[in-house]
Amino acid sequence: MNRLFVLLFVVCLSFGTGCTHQLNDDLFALTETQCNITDKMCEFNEVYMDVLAGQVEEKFELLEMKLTYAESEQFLIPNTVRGDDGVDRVMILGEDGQRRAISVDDFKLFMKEASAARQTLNRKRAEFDSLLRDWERVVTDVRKSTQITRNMNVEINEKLKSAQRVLEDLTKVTATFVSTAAMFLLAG
Amino acid sequence: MGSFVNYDFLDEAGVPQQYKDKLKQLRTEMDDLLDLQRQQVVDAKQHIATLDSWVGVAEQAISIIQSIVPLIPTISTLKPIAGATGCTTNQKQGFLQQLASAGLSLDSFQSLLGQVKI
Repeated sequence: MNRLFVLLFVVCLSFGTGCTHQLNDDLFALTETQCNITDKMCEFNEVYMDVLAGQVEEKFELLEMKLTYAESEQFLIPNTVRGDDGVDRVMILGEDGQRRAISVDDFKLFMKEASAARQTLNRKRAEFDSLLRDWERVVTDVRKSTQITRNMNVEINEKLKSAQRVLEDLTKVTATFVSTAAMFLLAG
Repeated sequence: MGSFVNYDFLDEAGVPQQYKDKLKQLRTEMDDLLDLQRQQVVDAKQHIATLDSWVGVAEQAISIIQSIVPLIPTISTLKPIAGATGCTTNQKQGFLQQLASAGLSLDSFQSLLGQVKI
């Protein structure tokens, strides 16, 4: 019976020890992954800092102003004048500050170009905003993952402590049982 | 006829392609890491559940062993009684008195023996 107890004790102890080792490995793996996530976040930040250092935002503001100005220039059409050649023209203020007469057809073309330019600017702006939102999502994801790791860390440590206590108790009571049984067997 | 306004300045706008590529690559790597972490959390939860089960069994084992240890002296004197051979009437009576002082009847003692065998 003593041998059976020792055998059961060894099996139970091995299983418990195996479980605690497994959890220790889990803890290590989680911590390592969290470190990698943090490192990746740093890389993210560096790239975004580079992007922002490129003054993309400021450039957008400037371009926005420039485009609005360009558009407004084209609206300086006080009159349509019919030339000697019978072509209707409008008077516009060019980029060089000089007034110029252009045909209505050309003017329509310029309007179309301005509209296309506006769309391009809006698309690029949306792209930039989308990248910024992605960054915010990454920051949120990393914050959540850090919290998850922290919670798991606490939970695993508590379980390990509790398991360690049970392992010690089991060792103690089994030792008491074996020694007591052996003493009486010897006495018998 | 050329353009009235030079829109080349629009080329300067937006995020350079190299950064977009780099951010896309980093996002993929980050997603992989987050997926890995989710899987590790699932694994850890399973291992915690296994450890909890073991702790429950081990605590029961501790409780049973703790209840058996005080009875070992009594058990050791039971052998000759159980065999009912080579045992005097006085020995039997002495054993039954020991049981009674431990608050046990012969039946409850035999039941305990059953637990020991398990």
